Amino acid sequence: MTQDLTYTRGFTPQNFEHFLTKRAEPEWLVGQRVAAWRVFERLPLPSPQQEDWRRTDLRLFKWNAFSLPEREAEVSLESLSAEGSEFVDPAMPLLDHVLLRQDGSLAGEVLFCGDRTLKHTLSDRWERRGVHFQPLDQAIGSRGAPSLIEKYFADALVDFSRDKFSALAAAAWATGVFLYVPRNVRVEEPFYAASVMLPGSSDLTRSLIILEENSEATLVVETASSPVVKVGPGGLHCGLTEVRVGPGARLRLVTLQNWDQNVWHFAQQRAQVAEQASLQWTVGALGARLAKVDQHVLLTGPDAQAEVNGVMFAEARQHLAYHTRQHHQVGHTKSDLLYKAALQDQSHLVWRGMIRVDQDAQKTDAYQRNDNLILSDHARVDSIPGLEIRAHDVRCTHGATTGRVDDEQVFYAATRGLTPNEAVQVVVLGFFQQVLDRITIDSVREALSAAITRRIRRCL
Amino acid sequence: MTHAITDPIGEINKFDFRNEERYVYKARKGLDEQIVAEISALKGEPQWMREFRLESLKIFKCKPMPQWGGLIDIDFQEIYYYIKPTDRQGRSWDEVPEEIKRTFDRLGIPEAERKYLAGVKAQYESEVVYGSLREELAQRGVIFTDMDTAVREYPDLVRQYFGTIIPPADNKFAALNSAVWSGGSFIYVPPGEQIEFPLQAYFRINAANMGQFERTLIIVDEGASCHYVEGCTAPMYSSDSLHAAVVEVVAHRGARVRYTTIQNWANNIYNLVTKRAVAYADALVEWVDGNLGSRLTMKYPSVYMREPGARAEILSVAFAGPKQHQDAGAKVVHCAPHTASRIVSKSISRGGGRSSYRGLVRIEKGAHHSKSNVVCDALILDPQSESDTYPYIEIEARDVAVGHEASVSRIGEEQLFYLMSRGLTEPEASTMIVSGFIEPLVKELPMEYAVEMNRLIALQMEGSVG
Repeated sequence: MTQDLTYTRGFTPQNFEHFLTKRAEPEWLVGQRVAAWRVFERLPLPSPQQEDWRRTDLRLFKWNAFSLPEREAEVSLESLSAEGSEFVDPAMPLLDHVLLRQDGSLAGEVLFCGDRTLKHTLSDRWERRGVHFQPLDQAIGSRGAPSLIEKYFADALVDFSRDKFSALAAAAWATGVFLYVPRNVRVEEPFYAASVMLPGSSDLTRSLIILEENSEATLVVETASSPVVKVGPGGLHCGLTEVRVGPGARLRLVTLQNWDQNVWHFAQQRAQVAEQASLQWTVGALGARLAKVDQHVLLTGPDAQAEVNGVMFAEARQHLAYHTRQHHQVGHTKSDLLYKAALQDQSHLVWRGMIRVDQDAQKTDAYQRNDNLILSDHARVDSIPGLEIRAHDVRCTHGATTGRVDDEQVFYAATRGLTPNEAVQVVVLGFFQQVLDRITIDSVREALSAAITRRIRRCL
Repeated sequence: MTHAITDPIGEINKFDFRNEERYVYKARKGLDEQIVAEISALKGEPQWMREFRLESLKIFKCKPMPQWGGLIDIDFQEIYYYIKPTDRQGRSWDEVPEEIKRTFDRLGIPEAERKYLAGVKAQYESEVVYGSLREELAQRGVIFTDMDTAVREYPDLVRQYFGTIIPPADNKFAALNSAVWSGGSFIYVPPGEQIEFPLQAYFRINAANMGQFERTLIIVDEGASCHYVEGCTAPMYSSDSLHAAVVEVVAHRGARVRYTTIQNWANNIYNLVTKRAVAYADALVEWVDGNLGSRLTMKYPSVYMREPGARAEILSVAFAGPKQHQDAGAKVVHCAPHTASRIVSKSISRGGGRSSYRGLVRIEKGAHHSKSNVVCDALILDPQSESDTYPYIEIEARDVAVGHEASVSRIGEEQLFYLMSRGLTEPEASTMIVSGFIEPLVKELPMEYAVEMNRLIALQMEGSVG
């Protein structure tokens, strides 16, 4: 096969062998990794003939620009900045591009730089009650956690063989977030995790978030690039995220990506919501050169609820493709999805959503909405809502709108003394307000709103 | 309004009768160059059409089957591609062979013609067996003939447009049609001519394993208008038949065209049809598309708005009953600024049927100030039935307003309760709600069709409750 040539630099079987040796992991995990690696080697790059990839152009993606992550010892923030590569600005704090980090009290914090852990804390109070919050690779070697991880990995929600990138993440994930909240534990403060990517690196992650029966938690996860002095060689991220919200549990989850515009981002995210459980999932998509994210929510028990919020803002030549799925497997479940997006410059945005209602899922109430605001003559948006209904006693609706900034609104704001630029900012922010209002975590709402405001350039 | 149906079984089988096969010519089964050349030779076609057919056959062979939509289980070698039922086309019903005439009598065509139609074409198997046009329209320069005659008598006009709106390479079934087409209507309306009454075509498949591949081309010149209505029926056979039509419509500057289809094929017909219109400046193209019959329909009437001010209105109604899959929808492509489109889709699934809306709204770069609105509503009447919605929205211009909304629901308990409290039985109430649901379609039909449509819905609804 011709494409084997492209692996010459980073993704060779020798490198993978080396990767495994260095990690010294339990046998069951090595077995899974090897199996996934075989799938990775076997699968071709997704082709534009595949419906899911038809709108996403991978022609400029080159495997040989990247390589498998190499495990390093734990490093401190300071030493890393000093060590830096030629692209990294030693004077700038490494976390400078992170948007949501907050000073308030946290239940726990994990900071990554690629596969290295920079910081890891978990308050004693929750640790004593059996909560785990740590990098997944460390959890594998810690006390209590491995059996949990083994159990959930054995029955994974994510599908390794879905595409080549998923298989790679499953084979060679270096780290990721592991959060486990035991039964009846209600954690009031948020957990926070941030990951920073260095130029030219591959960030392969796997995250596992488990809330047992009647527990409660808030988790904010964000990813960004390190500050750079000059434009670097970009980066590659392949990630698998698996979320399980147990019976009666409540999870508020925020995932924000703010990578530089030379990062390739491929993610498969799956959440399962059990009976009487609720999930509020907010997705922020601001960065990446090309992002292809599959976000599925499965409702598996009666009275399960999911609310999915998406905030997307694309500029320059970014291509952001988010595919969502609200899958109602049983009756009496509710899902509500709202994705709002703005586009500047020559950006291209794809949102493809599906509401799937299985045959026995009577009394399903599902909603799906996507609104797009086009701020440039050269942007392109593909909005593809979908319904597949196999039950009959349901209420399923979707709506999609695409338009420009309303001149009358801008004019009105201008008559109130705003400059045209300010007026547009106000109108664009107003467009996002509907989805921002649904975010119940104040600091996240404010940070996102500030990030959007910074993004809006004069676009009249 | 509900109709009292005294004999529902008799009514529902009204179109399920078959005549003995007595044909002037029946080509052998299967598809190859020889068959295509034979069809062309029998029709005495010019060289260019013969080459067009053979080239299309090559395209057909190398195109893959669509990997989406419904399951198409067709053995292309088991189909009769050409059956000639009679030697000549009748100018009056008396000239039509008795048996065929009886068929159309039973379908009520001659009666409808006397009452309110401006012109009629009736196609039986591969050929148009009857054609008429009001004298006065012919004098005004209106052409309404079958496609085969048009190739002979209006070669320049045909050659200018034929296959330009839907090239053979568009999709596998357009290629198939381009290779073996026979019959269909050709309409030309000269500048400024308004045709008040609808022109009608009626398509009938009688033989088993028959493929009907009619080809229709409608050209409405500047400022002219016309309304074309087609209806389709076939009897039930145990093996499946195929209907793969191609319909091309051109609406020149300021023209108005309305194309209405009531498709009521038997439940073993694959109905895989490509319909596309081009609208120039300030022209209006309307597709009114009702799909009640067939085993599987895949049909997405489309409008390409090529010049400023062009408009498109598409109304699609699908009713999927037992063992039926209606994969219907609409496509609008805005290629020019200041263009507007509206799509309304209504679908009903019952008795294990599946109805899917599949559509596209595309706004090309530079097509600023375009507006598009899409509304899809689906009703699912029982737990065995299925409904899908797959709308695609692609936008490459800034100053646009595009909206899409869709909903899927069952018949509301409250609506049923209300109607039953007024003394209706549950079946009556359900039928009335469904009739109300498809009201937007019925409203757009000529009166006689509206009545027929209501009857068909009532028939489809028979036995749907209880």
